[in-house]
Amino acid sequence: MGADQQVYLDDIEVGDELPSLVKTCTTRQLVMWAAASGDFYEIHYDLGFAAANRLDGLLVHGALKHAFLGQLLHDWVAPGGRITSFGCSYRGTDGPGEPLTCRGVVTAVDPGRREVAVDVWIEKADGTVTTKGPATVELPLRSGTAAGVP
Amino acid sequence: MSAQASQPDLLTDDLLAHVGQPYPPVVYEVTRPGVRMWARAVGFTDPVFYDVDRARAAGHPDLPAPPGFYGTPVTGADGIVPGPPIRGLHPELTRSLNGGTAYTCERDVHAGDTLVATTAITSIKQKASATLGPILVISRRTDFARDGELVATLTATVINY
Repeated sequence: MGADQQVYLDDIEVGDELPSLVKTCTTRQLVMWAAASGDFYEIHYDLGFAAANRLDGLLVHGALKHAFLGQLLHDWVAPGGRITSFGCSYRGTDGPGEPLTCRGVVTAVDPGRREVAVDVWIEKADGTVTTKGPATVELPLRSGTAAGVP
Repeated sequence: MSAQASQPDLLTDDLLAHVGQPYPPVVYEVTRPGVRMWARAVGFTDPVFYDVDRARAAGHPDLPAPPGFYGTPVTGADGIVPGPPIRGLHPELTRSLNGGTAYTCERDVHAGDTLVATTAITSIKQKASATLGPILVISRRTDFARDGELVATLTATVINY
Protein backbone atom coordinates (compact mmCIF):
# COMPACT_ATOMS: atom_id res chain seq x y z
CA MET A 1 0.00 0.00 0.00
CA GLY A 2 2.94 2.31 -0.56
CA ALA A 3 2.95 5.28 -2.88
CA ASP A 4 4.46 3.07 -5.57
CA GLN A 5 1.16 1.18 -5.70
CA GLN A 6 -0.96 4.28 -6.19
CA VAL A 7 -3.59 4.01 -8.89
CA TYR A 8 -4.07 7.19 -10.92
CA LEU A 9 -7.15 8.50 -12.61
CA ASP A 10 -5.18 8.83 -15.86
CA ASP A 11 -4.80 5.06 -16.07
CA ILE A 12 -8.39 4.06 -15.27
CA GLU A 13 -10.82 2.92 -17.95
CA VAL A 14 -14.39 1.74 -17.86
CA GLY A 15 -14.38 -2.01 -17.48
CA ASP A 16 -11.22 -2.13 -15.38
CA GLU A 17 -11.48 -4.64 -12.57
CA LEU A 18 -10.34 -3.89 -9.03
CA PRO A 19 -7.89 -6.30 -7.38
CA SER A 20 -10.16 -8.80 -5.63
CA LEU A 21 -10.20 -9.40 -1.89
CA VAL A 22 -11.13 -12.74 -0.33
CA LYS A 23 -12.63 -12.72 3.17
CA THR A 24 -13.41 -15.89 5.11
CA CYS A 25 -15.11 -15.03 8.40
CA THR A 26 -14.49 -16.95 11.58
CA THR A 27 -17.14 -16.85 14.32
CA ARG A 28 -14.50 -14.95 16.30
CA GLN A 29 -14.49 -12.26 13.64
CA LEU A 30 -18.29 -12.01 13.82
CA VAL A 31 -18.04 -11.43 17.59
CA MET A 32 -15.28 -8.84 17.04
CA TRP A 33 -17.53 -7.09 14.54
CA ALA A 34 -20.48 -7.21 16.95
CA ALA A 35 -18.36 -5.43 19.56
CA ALA A 36 -16.89 -2.92 17.12
CA SER A 37 -20.18 -2.06 15.44
CA GLY A 38 -22.51 -2.41 18.43
CA ASP A 39 -24.75 -4.84 16.52
CA PHE A 40 -25.35 -7.62 19.01
CA TYR A 41 -28.26 -9.28 17.21
CA GLU A 42 -27.98 -12.95 18.19
CA ILE A 43 -28.41 -14.44 14.70
CA HIS A 44 -24.71 -13.65 14.18
CA TYR A 45 -23.27 -15.67 17.08
CA ASP A 46 -25.98 -17.73 18.82
CA LEU A 47 -26.70 -20.89 16.83
CA GLY A 48 -29.82 -21.78 18.85
CA PHE A 49 -31.23 -18.30 18.34
CA ALA A 50 -30.49 -18.48 14.61
CA ALA A 51 -32.25 -21.86 14.33
CA ALA A 52 -35.30 -20.46 16.12
CA ASN A 53 -35.39 -17.74 13.45
CA ARG A 54 -35.71 -20.24 10.57
CA LEU A 55 -32.01 -19.93 9.70
CA ASP A 56 -29.73 -22.85 8.84
CA GLY A 57 -26.72 -21.35 10.57
CA LEU A 58 -25.04 -18.18 11.74
CA LEU A 59 -25.05 -15.20 9.40
CA VAL A 60 -22.29 -12.76 8.54
CA HIS A 61 -23.50 -9.26 9.49
CA GLY A 62 -24.64 -7.32 6.44
CA ALA A 63 -22.78 -4.25 7.66
CA LEU A 64 -19.58 -6.31 7.93
CA LYS A 65 -19.94 -7.24 4.26
CA HIS A 66 -20.42 -3.53 3.53
CA ALA A 67 -17.21 -2.88 5.47
CA PHE A 68 -15.44 -5.58 3.42
CA LEU A 69 -16.38 -3.63 0.29
CA GLY A 70 -14.94 -0.54 2.01
CA GLN A 71 -11.68 -2.44 2.47
CA LEU A 72 -11.73 -3.51 -1.18
CA LEU A 73 -12.06 0.14 -2.20
CA HIS A 74 -9.53 1.43 0.33
CA ASP A 75 -6.87 -1.07 -0.70
CA TRP A 76 -7.45 0.00 -4.31
CA VAL A 77 -7.31 3.80 -3.89
CA ALA A 78 -4.83 4.14 -0.98
CA PRO A 79 -2.86 6.10 -0.14
CA GLY A 80 -3.71 9.08 -2.34
CA GLY A 81 -7.30 8.38 -3.32
CA ARG A 82 -10.48 8.93 -1.38
CA ILE A 83 -13.73 6.97 -1.07
CA THR A 84 -16.71 9.28 -1.37
CA SER A 85 -19.57 6.76 -1.25
CA PHE A 86 -20.27 3.06 -1.23
CA GLY A 87 -23.45 1.14 -0.67
CA CYS A 88 -24.83 -2.32 -1.15
CA SER A 89 -27.99 -4.33 -0.89
CA TYR A 90 -28.03 -7.78 0.67
CA ARG A 91 -29.51 -10.27 -1.79
CA GLY A 92 -28.39 -13.42 -0.04
CA THR A 93 -26.92 -14.55 3.22
CA ASP A 94 -23.37 -15.69 3.91
CA GLY A 95 -22.01 -17.73 6.75
CA PRO A 96 -18.74 -18.05 8.63
CA GLY A 97 -16.21 -20.36 6.97
CA GLU A 98 -17.27 -19.46 3.43
CA PRO A 99 -14.70 -17.77 1.21
CA LEU A 100 -16.32 -14.49 0.13
CA THR A 101 -14.70 -12.77 -2.81
CA CYS A 102 -15.07 -8.98 -2.93
CA ARG A 103 -14.84 -7.62 -6.47
CA GLY A 104 -15.37 -4.41 -8.36
CA VAL A 105 -15.46 -3.01 -11.87
CA VAL A 106 -15.19 0.56 -13.11
CA THR A 107 -18.46 1.84 -14.62
CA ALA A 108 -17.63 5.51 -15.29
CA VAL A 109 -14.71 7.94 -15.21
CA ASP A 110 -15.21 11.68 -14.71
CA PRO A 111 -11.84 13.41 -15.26
CA GLY A 112 -13.26 16.84 -14.44
CA ARG A 113 -14.23 15.81 -10.92
CA ARG A 114 -11.39 13.24 -10.70
CA GLU A 115 -14.17 10.81 -9.81
CA VAL A 116 -14.51 7.14 -10.70
CA ALA A 117 -17.74 5.17 -10.34
CA VAL A 118 -17.53 1.45 -9.69
CA ASP A 119 -19.88 -1.42 -9.03
CA VAL A 120 -18.73 -3.52 -6.09
CA TRP A 121 -20.02 -6.89 -5.01
CA ILE A 122 -19.37 -10.04 -2.99
CA GLU A 123 -19.69 -13.47 -4.49
CA LYS A 124 -19.59 -16.97 -3.05
CA ALA A 125 -17.27 -19.69 -4.36
CA ASP A 126 -19.99 -20.80 -6.81
CA GLY A 127 -20.30 -17.27 -8.19
CA THR A 128 -23.57 -16.39 -6.46
CA VAL A 129 -23.64 -12.65 -5.77
CA THR A 130 -25.02 -12.01 -2.27
CA THR A 131 -24.09 -8.36 -1.86
CA LYS A 132 -23.88 -5.62 -4.48
CA GLY A 133 -23.95 -1.88 -4.87
CA PRO A 134 -22.48 1.29 -6.36
CA ALA A 135 -19.49 3.26 -5.12
CA THR A 136 -17.60 6.42 -6.04
CA VAL A 137 -13.97 7.31 -5.38
CA GLU A 138 -11.68 10.26 -6.11
CA LEU A 139 -8.26 9.44 -7.54
CA PRO A 140 -5.13 11.56 -7.95
CA LEU A 141 -3.77 12.55 -11.34
CA ARG A 142 -0.27 11.63 -12.45
CA SER A 143 0.37 15.37 -12.81
CA GLY A 144 0.34 15.52 -9.03
CA THR A 145 -3.03 17.00 -8.18
CA ALA A 146 -4.11 15.14 -5.07
CA ALA A 147 -7.65 13.96 -4.63
CA GLY A 148 -9.62 14.78 -1.55
CA VAL A 149 -11.15 17.75 0.15
CA PRO A 150 -9.83 19.88 3.00
CA MET B 1 -49.17 -20.91 8.18
CA SER B 2 -52.06 -21.30 5.78
CA ALA B 3 -51.89 -19.84 2.31
CA GLN B 4 -53.62 -16.51 1.98
CA ALA B 5 -55.31 -15.12 -1.08
CA SER B 6 -54.25 -11.59 -0.31
CA GLN B 7 -51.72 -9.91 1.90
CA PRO B 8 -52.72 -8.18 5.10
CA ASP B 9 -52.22 -4.43 5.08
CA LEU B 10 -49.42 -3.85 7.53
CA LEU B 11 -49.05 -0.13 6.87
CA THR B 12 -51.21 1.35 9.59
CA ASP B 13 -51.30 5.08 10.33
CA ASP B 14 -49.51 4.43 13.63
CA LEU B 15 -46.71 2.67 11.76
CA LEU B 16 -46.35 5.35 9.09
CA ALA B 17 -46.24 8.03 11.79
CA HIS B 18 -42.67 6.87 12.46
CA VAL B 19 -41.53 8.29 9.11
CA GLY B 20 -39.70 11.57 9.59
CA GLN B 21 -40.27 11.64 13.32
CA PRO B 22 -37.41 13.62 14.91
CA TYR B 23 -35.21 12.15 17.62
CA PRO B 24 -32.64 13.85 19.85
CA PRO B 25 -29.14 13.85 18.36
CA VAL B 26 -26.59 11.29 19.53
CA VAL B 27 -22.91 12.10 20.08
CA TYR B 28 -20.36 9.77 18.45
CA GLU B 29 -16.76 9.80 19.63
CA VAL B 30 -14.07 8.83 17.13
CA THR B 31 -11.19 7.48 19.22
CA ARG B 32 -7.90 5.76 18.42
CA PRO B 33 -8.94 2.54 20.19
CA GLY B 34 -12.26 2.72 18.36
CA VAL B 35 -10.58 3.10 14.97
CA ARG B 36 -8.18 0.23 15.67
CA MET B 37 -10.92 -2.06 16.99
CA TRP B 38 -13.10 -1.43 13.98
CA ALA B 39 -10.25 -1.83 11.48
CA ARG B 40 -9.15 -5.05 13.18
CA ALA B 41 -12.71 -6.45 13.16
CA VAL B 42 -12.96 -5.88 9.40
CA GLY B 43 -9.43 -7.13 8.77
CA PHE B 44 -7.74 -4.01 7.38
CA THR B 45 -4.00 -4.55 6.94
CA ASP B 46 -3.05 -0.93 6.08
CA PRO B 47 -1.00 0.38 9.07
CA VAL B 48 -2.52 3.84 8.55
CA PHE B 49 -5.46 2.68 10.72
CA TYR B 50 -3.27 1.43 13.58
CA ASP B 51 -0.08 3.51 13.73
CA VAL B 52 -0.39 7.25 14.44
CA ASP B 53 3.08 7.96 13.04
CA ARG B 54 2.22 6.19 9.79
CA ALA B 55 -1.08 8.10 9.64
CA ARG B 56 0.69 11.45 10.10
CA ALA B 57 3.35 10.52 7.56
CA ALA B 58 0.49 9.93 5.12
CA GLY B 59 -0.81 13.44 5.78
CA HIS B 60 -3.54 12.70 8.30
CA PRO B 61 -3.83 14.68 11.57
CA ASP B 62 -4.47 11.37 13.41
CA LEU B 63 -5.70 7.84 12.65
CA PRO B 64 -8.23 8.15 9.82
CA ALA B 65 -11.66 6.60 10.27
CA PRO B 66 -11.85 3.48 8.07
CA PRO B 67 -14.47 3.71 5.30
CA GLY B 68 -17.92 3.41 6.85
CA PHE B 69 -16.76 4.09 10.40
CA TYR B 70 -18.18 7.12 12.20
CA GLY B 71 -17.18 6.51 15.81
CA THR B 72 -18.80 5.00 18.86
CA PRO B 73 -22.10 6.33 20.19
CA VAL B 74 -22.13 7.78 23.69
CA THR B 75 -24.63 5.67 25.62
CA GLY B 76 -25.58 4.89 29.19
CA ALA B 77 -25.40 1.65 31.15
CA ASP B 78 -27.93 -0.10 28.90
CA GLY B 79 -25.87 0.61 25.77
CA ILE B 80 -29.02 1.55 23.88
CA VAL B 81 -28.55 4.16 21.15
CA PRO B 82 -31.64 6.37 21.24
CA GLY B 83 -33.29 6.71 17.87
CA PRO B 84 -36.12 5.52 15.70
CA PRO B 85 -36.72 1.76 15.96
CA ILE B 86 -36.28 -0.29 12.81
CA ARG B 87 -37.03 -3.67 14.34
CA GLY B 88 -40.30 -4.77 15.87
CA LEU B 89 -42.30 -1.85 14.47
CA HIS B 90 -45.16 -4.24 13.73
CA PRO B 91 -46.16 -6.62 16.56
CA GLU B 92 -46.54 -9.60 14.20
CA LEU B 93 -43.16 -9.12 12.51
CA THR B 94 -40.68 -9.91 15.25
CA ARG B 95 -37.75 -10.98 13.07
CA SER B 96 -35.47 -8.88 10.94
CA LEU B 97 -32.77 -9.06 8.29
CA ASN B 98 -30.40 -6.40 7.04
CA GLY B 99 -31.53 -5.22 3.61
CA GLY B 100 -28.83 -2.75 2.68
CA THR B 101 -26.26 -0.20 3.74
CA ALA B 102 -25.27 3.02 1.99
CA TYR B 103 -22.56 5.41 3.11
CA THR B 104 -21.42 8.77 1.83
CA CYS B 105 -18.32 10.61 3.04
CA GLU B 106 -18.40 14.38 2.57
CA ARG B 107 -15.37 15.15 4.79
CA ASP B 108 -12.62 12.94 6.15
CA VAL B 109 -13.01 11.88 9.79
CA HIS B 110 -10.14 11.21 12.20
CA ALA B 111 -9.54 10.00 15.74
CA GLY B 112 -10.21 12.89 18.08
CA ASP B 113 -13.32 14.02 16.21
CA THR B 114 -16.67 14.30 17.93
CA LEU B 115 -19.65 13.86 15.62
CA VAL B 116 -23.30 14.66 16.21
CA ALA B 117 -25.68 12.15 14.62
CA THR B 118 -29.26 12.91 13.68
CA THR B 119 -31.38 9.94 12.67
CA ALA B 120 -34.83 9.57 11.14
CA ILE B 121 -36.80 6.85 9.40
CA THR B 122 -37.05 7.92 5.76
CA SER B 123 -39.44 5.29 4.40
CA ILE B 124 -41.54 2.25 5.33
CA LYS B 125 -42.82 0.02 2.54
CA GLN B 126 -44.70 -3.27 2.47
CA LYS B 127 -43.57 -5.94 0.06
CA ALA B 128 -44.21 -9.62 -0.56
CA SER B 129 -41.34 -12.06 -0.17
CA ALA B 130 -41.52 -15.52 -1.73
CA THR B 131 -39.75 -17.04 1.26
CA LEU B 132 -40.62 -14.74 4.16
CA GLY B 133 -44.22 -13.77 3.32
CA PRO B 134 -45.37 -10.18 3.91
CA ILE B 135 -42.43 -8.01 4.89
CA LEU B 136 -41.79 -4.42 5.84
CA VAL B 137 -38.82 -2.64 4.26
CA ILE B 138 -37.69 0.19 6.52
CA SER B 139 -35.01 2.76 5.69
CA ARG B 140 -33.34 4.95 8.26
CA ARG B 141 -30.82 7.70 7.54
CA THR B 142 -28.27 9.15 9.92
CA ASP B 143 -26.50 12.43 9.21
CA PHE B 144 -23.15 12.89 10.98
CA ALA B 145 -21.98 16.46 11.55
CA ARG B 146 -18.76 17.91 12.95
CA ASP B 147 -18.93 21.49 14.21
CA GLY B 148 -22.25 21.80 12.43
CA GLU B 149 -20.86 20.64 9.08
CA LEU B 150 -22.11 17.42 7.45
CA VAL B 151 -19.29 14.87 7.20
CA ALA B 152 -21.07 11.59 6.44
CA THR B 153 -24.44 9.96 5.92
CA LEU B 154 -25.40 6.38 6.63
CA THR B 155 -28.60 4.81 5.33
CA ALA B 156 -29.62 1.44 6.73
CA THR B 157 -32.42 -0.63 5.21
CA VAL B 158 -33.90 -3.38 7.34
CA ILE B 159 -36.44 -6.05 6.49
CA ASN B 160 -38.97 -6.96 9.19
CA TYR B 161 -40.70 -10.32 8.73
